[in-house]
Amino acid sequence: MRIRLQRFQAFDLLNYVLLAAVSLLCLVPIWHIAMVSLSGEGPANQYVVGLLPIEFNFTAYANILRLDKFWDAFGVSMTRVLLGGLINFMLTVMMAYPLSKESSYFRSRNFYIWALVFTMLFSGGLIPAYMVINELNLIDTIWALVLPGAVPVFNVILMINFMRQLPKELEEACLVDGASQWAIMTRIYVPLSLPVIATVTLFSVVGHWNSWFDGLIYMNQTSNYPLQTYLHVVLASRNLVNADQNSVMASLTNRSAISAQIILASLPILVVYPFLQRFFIHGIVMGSVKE
Amino acid sequence: MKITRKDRTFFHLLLAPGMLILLLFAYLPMIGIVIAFQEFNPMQGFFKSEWVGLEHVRFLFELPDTMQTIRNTVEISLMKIVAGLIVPIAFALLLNEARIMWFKRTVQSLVYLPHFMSWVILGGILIDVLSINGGVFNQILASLGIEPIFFFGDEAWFRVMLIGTDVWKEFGFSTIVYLAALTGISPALYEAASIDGASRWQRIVYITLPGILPVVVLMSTLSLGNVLNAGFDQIFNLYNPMVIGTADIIDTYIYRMGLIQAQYGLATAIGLMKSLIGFALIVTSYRLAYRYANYRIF
Amino acid sequence: MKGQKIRGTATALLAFLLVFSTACSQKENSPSAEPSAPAQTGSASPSAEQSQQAGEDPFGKFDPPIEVSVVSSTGTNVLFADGESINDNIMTRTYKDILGIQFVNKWVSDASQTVEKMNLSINTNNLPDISKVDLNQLHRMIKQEQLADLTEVYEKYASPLLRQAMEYGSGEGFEAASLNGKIYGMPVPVDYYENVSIMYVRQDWLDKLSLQAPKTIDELVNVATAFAQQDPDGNGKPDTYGIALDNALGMGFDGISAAFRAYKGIWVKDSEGKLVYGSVQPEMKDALAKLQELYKAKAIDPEFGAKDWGKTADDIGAGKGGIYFGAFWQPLYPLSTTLTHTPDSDWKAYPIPVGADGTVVPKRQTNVFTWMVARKDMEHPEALIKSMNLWAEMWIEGGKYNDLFYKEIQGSEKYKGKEIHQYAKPYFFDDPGKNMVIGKQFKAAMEKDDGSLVTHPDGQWKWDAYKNNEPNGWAFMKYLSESEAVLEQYGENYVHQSFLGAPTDTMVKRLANLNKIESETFTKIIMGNAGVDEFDKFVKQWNQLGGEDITEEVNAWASSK
Repeated sequence: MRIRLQRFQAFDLLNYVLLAAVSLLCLVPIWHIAMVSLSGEGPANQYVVGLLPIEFNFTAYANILRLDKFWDAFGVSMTRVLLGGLINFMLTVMMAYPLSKESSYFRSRNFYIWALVFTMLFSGGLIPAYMVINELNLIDTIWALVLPGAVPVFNVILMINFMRQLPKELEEACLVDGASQWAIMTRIYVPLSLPVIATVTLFSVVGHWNSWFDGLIYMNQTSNYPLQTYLHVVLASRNLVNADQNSVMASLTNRSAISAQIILASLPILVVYPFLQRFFIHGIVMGSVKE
Repeated sequence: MKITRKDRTFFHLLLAPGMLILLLFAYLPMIGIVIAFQEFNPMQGFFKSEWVGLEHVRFLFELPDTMQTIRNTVEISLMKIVAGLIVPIAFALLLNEARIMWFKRTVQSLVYLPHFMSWVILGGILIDVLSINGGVFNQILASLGIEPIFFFGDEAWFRVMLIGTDVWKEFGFSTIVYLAALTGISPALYEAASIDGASRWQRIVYITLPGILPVVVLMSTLSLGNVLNAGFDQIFNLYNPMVIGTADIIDTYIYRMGLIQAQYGLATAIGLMKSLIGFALIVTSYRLAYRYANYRIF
Repeated sequence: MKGQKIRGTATALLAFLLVFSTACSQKENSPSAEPSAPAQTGSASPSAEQSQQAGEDPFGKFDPPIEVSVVSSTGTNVLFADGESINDNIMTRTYKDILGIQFVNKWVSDASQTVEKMNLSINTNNLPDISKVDLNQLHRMIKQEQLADLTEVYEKYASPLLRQAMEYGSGEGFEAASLNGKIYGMPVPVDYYENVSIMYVRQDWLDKLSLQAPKTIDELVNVATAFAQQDPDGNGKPDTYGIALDNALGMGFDGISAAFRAYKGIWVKDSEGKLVYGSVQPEMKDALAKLQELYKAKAIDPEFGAKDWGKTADDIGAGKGGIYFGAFWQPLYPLSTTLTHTPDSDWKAYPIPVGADGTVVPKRQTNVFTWMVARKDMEHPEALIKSMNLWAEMWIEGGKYNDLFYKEIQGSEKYKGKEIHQYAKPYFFDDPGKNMVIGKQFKAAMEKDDGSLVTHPDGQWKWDAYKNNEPNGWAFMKYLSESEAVLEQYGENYVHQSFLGAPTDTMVKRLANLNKIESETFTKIIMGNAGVDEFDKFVKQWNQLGGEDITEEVNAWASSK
């Protein structure tokens, strides 16, 4: 018995060490880049920075403060997140509410549901999608980034599932009182679904912030790139530029400057993610582990 | 309870904007699929371009690259699926054994972090820390007396990195699902087991694993639908011409074929095939999930 | 510098270098500026006008000014002078002031996205008035009838200086741009000898090991083996190799295989005058056998298969390789980086080694890879020709706007350190014979130590950079005096790319695949993972997978000439 107890403690200790090591593995690369961004140009380029900054300074960030292209892209991303998040939110609610009704009650429901689900299963592909955006004259506009994904099908389905769990009696009581469907939706269903709505909206906000490929394809002017697209392009071409060949250019393309841009671009995520995490656990548990 | 005409109109009105969006951006492009069967000429448009029937499909299978990318796609995604099941389950089990609550929560928060970041950012970070030329990881290896490894430049290593970094990004997030399932197991079972003198290992094997089995089955069947999606975002942000042999997947192939070589008919033909097979896979996986895990998407 | 990786294609880097050579060109006041230069420019314009038919003025100003839409690409971090942008800068204003042409950017894409954006634009027929396209795009646009016929406007408006650049050599750039006698694209030429291989050898290593620069293939084997085995950098570690080769089998391959009369990737004339593909000729087998032997003797970088061009360039900078085959301009990069790391190192340029019969005929690719085209219904296609006239008159020696460009713009304080080349939208084309001319002047100037002998405006500041020991001064001296001297030594004795037409139908569909098989097979053979006899199998496969059809098409093109 005594021996077994000791073995347990050894296991626990080992387990804690292992868990801590794995968590650090998730943090350290990001931490390291943050430290590089705070280090002097010399140590950064010589790859001697480890987990603490060397020649601690904010020069890289000061340089980026003056880098218009970065802030243009930041602005596009912000607009996109706000506009896209709002549109996603509205359409999610507007579509989920009627579709949460029984098909015996709202007969067209099944048609709509299938129309919705089919878009998840099948798509026209990259080239035809581009042609449509082009024909609609949306190239180079913010709408090319927010409209194609304006209906977040998966989120709508999550919402439908949630609303269907709400007690039917609520609605019936209101109907008896002569309330309109509009009133039922806005006064009963939306307030009750608020946690889920918040979750899926955050989903789409993060999704919008992180999207980059559509920016690459649909934006012709580099000044219209959202931040992640801008960063993709900077990172893809960073290796082409030699730091010491042009000093002004070097101040924007050296390792600490690039690291600073990486950190700044992930900052909004780092800020909202503790909230995300709380909502998420609800959302994911509700969405995927239905008994 | 009966629906009134007014209610019905209201419902249709609510649905109209969303349906319009889907019509424009999801259904309209489906018409564009016709260029998979054409020698497309923009001056003549979708309907007047020369029709070539299944010529593009036939030609695709003559190109050795096509089969290679299909093979790569399936291999990479299957490896990701397997690793993406084992690691989070193992991690959830270990985390479940930890008793200190603040520790557990901190670990959880840290391991979710990469999930929320885009592959652009993670690609930038990973290429830096795993660089052969001074990257931190290789410096650590060097201090252990190991020769630096060209992680993203060597064909064999690149595959390992694709799987490894994908697991690294996603395992924390997948862990949530298993942790949720673990909390669903009745504590009474564990109490009974420890009274019977079951070891920690025996409890895991006889109580915990069977307890989360339905979720494991569900997650694996659902992931089947993704066999043709080997991770465009990840590969596009990490790959380079040196590793194209083992890294090229259907989606990157479509990108290069369509946008760089401008073979729109061919690119659309591969896209169409991918969509069709993907469609079959998703439908199958949902049916399996329904049968074995009683899961319904709506 | 350490840790900076140069990844990416040679073309991308080349573009960067061209940028760079212009960026560094700002010299305050060239002390050796030729007093005779203005006189020369004065004489150029009257003759230009005389040659015009029906009094069409090649520089006639559009009044009122017209707008011409173009597309531009730029690196994300291109810097403009204060108050200037890609839409409005000294170059766009110059075009407007002199010609009444206002360039308007329909879009400005990132350099890494140029091909994709242009392709999408072609395939949705959403084209700017004028655009710069590559061979495949040009071919597609001609086939899809999207382009304006430029034959007439070229005849009417092209200035002599522009013609000189366009028609340099035999005017091969027009071949691919023509269909049924009509011209649809204006060539955008680079230096005529852009892709001719020159052998650069680490002179300090030769001296250290008391060796002579190799003249024959056998001597090359000896020197390269010695570089790999006798520790030429004296650091006591076996960390050097002889010949640098990259996994695209670029100029290193060409420089060695030419001795066997083997020419990879180009169409050559066989004894009966028929066009045949160089990579599948029996001579190639001998070249591959020799390369395999070199590899076995560790004379070639043992890891070349995993190194792209940029990685090989890094190696050269780090002092790993002792023999580098490259273009005339490569002292600029990567050779100069060797000096950054090892200040007492030195490179010298030599002709590529001769074969068993004591002679060698180097391979020469074409020097036109891009074309300027005008949209079919563009109102004033002559604006394209006029604007190209102006660029020629600014950039090419003897142009009437030389002073404006080299002194007032490039030489001014305001544009110091800026990339005028990036401004020079919508195209940057070179005078294909320029470097040869400057090279001769440079050599003469060095022999007599007299800078006034360098009269070319693009040579003067390079001479000053060399004399004042500025960055790149060494590289300018090396490539203008030594590399150009090697090219002069080659004379006009080349095996040229003989197929200059548009990509044939089978090429469009199958060439990418054939090239892939070719490079895989060659790499395998060189690394000894396959016997030399694998080559015969490859030839058969090549023919079956479309090569035979392509050969027929290519000869059909040739006989239609």
